[in-house]
Amino acid sequence: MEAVDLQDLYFRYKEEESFAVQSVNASIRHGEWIAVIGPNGSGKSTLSRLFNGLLMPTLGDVYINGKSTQTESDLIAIRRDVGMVFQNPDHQFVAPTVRDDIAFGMENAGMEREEMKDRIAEVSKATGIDHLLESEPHRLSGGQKQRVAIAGVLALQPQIMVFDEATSMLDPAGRREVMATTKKLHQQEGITIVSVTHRLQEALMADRIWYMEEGQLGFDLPSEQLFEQLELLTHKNIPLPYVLQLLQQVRQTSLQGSFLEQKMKDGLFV
Amino acid sequence: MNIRLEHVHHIFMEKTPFETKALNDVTVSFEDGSFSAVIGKTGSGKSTLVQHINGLYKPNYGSLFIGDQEIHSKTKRKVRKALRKKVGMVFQYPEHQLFEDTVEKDILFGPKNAGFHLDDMKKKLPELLEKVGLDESVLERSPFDLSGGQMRRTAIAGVLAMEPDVLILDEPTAGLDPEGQEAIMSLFNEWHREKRTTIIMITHQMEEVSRLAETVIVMDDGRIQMQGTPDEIFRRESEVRALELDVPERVNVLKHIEKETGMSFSSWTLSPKEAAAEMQRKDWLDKKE
Amino acid sequence: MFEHVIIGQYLPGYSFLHKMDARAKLLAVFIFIFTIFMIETWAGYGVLWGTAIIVFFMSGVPFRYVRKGMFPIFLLVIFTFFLHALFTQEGEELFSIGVFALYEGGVEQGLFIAFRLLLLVFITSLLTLTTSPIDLTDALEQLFTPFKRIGIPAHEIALMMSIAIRFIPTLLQETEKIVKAQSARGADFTRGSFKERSQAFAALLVPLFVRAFKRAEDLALAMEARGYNGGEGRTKLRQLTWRLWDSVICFLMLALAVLLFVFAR
Repeated sequence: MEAVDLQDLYFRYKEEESFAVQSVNASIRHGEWIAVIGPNGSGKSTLSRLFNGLLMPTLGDVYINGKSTQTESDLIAIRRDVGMVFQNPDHQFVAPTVRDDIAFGMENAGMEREEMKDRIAEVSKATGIDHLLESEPHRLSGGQKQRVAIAGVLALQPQIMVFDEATSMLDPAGRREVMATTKKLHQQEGITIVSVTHRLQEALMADRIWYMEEGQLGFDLPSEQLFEQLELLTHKNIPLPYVLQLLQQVRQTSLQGSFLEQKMKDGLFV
Repeated sequence: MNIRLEHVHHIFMEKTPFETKALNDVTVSFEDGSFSAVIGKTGSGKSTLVQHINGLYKPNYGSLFIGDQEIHSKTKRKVRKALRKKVGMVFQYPEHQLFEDTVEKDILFGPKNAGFHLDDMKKKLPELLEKVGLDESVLERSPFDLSGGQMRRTAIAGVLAMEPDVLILDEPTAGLDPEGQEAIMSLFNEWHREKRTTIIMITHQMEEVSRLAETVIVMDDGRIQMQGTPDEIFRRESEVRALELDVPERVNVLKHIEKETGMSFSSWTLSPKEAAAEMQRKDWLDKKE
Repeated sequence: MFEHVIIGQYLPGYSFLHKMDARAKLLAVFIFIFTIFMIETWAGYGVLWGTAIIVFFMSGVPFRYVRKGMFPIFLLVIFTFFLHALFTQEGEELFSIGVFALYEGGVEQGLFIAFRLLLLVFITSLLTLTTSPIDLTDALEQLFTPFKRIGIPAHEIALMMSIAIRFIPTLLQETEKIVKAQSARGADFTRGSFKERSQAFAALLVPLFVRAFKRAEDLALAMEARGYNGGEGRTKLRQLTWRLWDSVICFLMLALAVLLFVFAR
């Protein structure tokens, strides 16, 4: 069974508006990492909110582990299976301290207190915030707040984690912290990752890249094939990171670019 | 306008247990018509520094000169307030400052406070809108109905409308997608070229620094640690990293190529095209394979 | 700049009072306040003040913090004193200036009210100085849960309070930022005509509200995504622990109230 299955998915916020997401058919395997890129307003954030029933399809279906988000009795389980980390570090921190915030989701799930304590110890270590448990949010950096959010989601032991532009408001140090944590969760815990981002460098860390455009899935490529598609990216007005621009220039000369390409695939420049 | 800071100290909550030295003996100058970048990790004092230049803060000790105006600890509010007509500031997430019921009114809020002639200003609006990449039709709309990118452009227009001699930018591209970042930066770059406005920009985007800035000022712990051209600064990579700062991606890439191939680039701030040309001249890739 | 902001008045510490269960503290303070209003003799007040001072020494809070908390109320106390002193015309006339005359009964009444107010503020300050806002919220929630049946939404009120506590520093930071941004555009919050100043304040308040609504929207979404579904079936990580001492203190307070009620009303 696929982790996520999107079947003929359409969504619009209001009846008189056009579709923010339209005719999307795609699926995600367990343990895969998908990056969703695309310009602002292309529907990528909307799509991410359809994954756990924060938004319901106007037409079509979203299946998580074979269960539709539209089946009301499954929704609680789906929300535990699909964790979400949002863009603004300040707007998802609910409780007055780090410890309480990590507990929030578990409290909602009605978990025993001893179990909560164990899991807080575990997830705070995994996200590297175990020294901050007593801290108040306004004393934390953006990157730390996002890692608290990740810990809070992780405590519910989700199979899938959706990052909705979770790094876009962070400084470079914060971005690195969050990306390193994400990578660790993917590799060590085998969590399926969906990361909505507008940074191509981050997208290249994923297994596959979805490009959204006007609510549709413009392309769905394994990330290593992106190097073959530079013209396509330029054509879509996606600004390329320096290393890809250089690769593009090198290809136009008589030189061979394979050395650069290999280095990039090795992840050296990412 | 030349800007010069001389031994400026700024201390928050002086003589309390919470006393913090935000600026510690800062001496620096910004030449008329230059484009400078101020970098440093969070809490290094870079925001406090630039907020002295438009009079939001005054030094506890030392003084600064903006044109021929001196600002020191005893300078009157009125003088500092007058400074704001000449020194415009675009804050981080400037769209958060929008409040009027139409875009036009919001753009004209600053000029109105500064006592500009509003009818003249209105005549200039179409040109200004074009420069910031907004359609004239937005003027009558509520700023809160616009997209995020348009809101930011509106807020920027509100600052540019005063045609300040000095423009301070505090992370002007934070939170934008790469297309938006490029558009906003080229807008400021165009403005800088055309009006010869002195620009002082705080940023975490090292690519922007290497592409646009003529001078880079590196701050840490309330002091100026390094100063020079982007190439000079980023050549001292280990020092930059020791201050918990990044180097531009291009520096990483070009340095790495140098290491792998033994060739050397004329600079680490080359554009992709220039870098490819130098590589072709050296013809190194063929040899490599 | 706002890193040092202390929310509420809470002063962390390890005194007996700090260690007491917040529910016990709330109950005891509640009984105490009730007693203050029931008692109308100087002897009774002497005992209450004595008790309050013992509590103060148990709290280990430096006096200046209590004084700081009481200061704003001081003007009110002085004002009420004079109000009562001047308008209660009982007992012997002490002296008079023009139309104003001070009577013995009036002065006594004024002093009485002043002491009552001061005592109220004194004891509630001690409560907030030794109890973190979070514990206080939890205690309120638990004490009010039995009243759910008569329509008091204890959980929702407590959640609102804790979110408010959490966002006060954020709001302060945001206010500072917007004040600066609008000042940079020439807005003046301290000078100018009424019209100019009210526009400056619109320039501050409109963005603050717009941001607050946006934040509320985001927060609601984040809470929903984390499975928040109201207070039903929810467990709590934070637990208040009621120990023997808490019962003893509540009992003593109740006994004191009864004794005063019988002998010194």
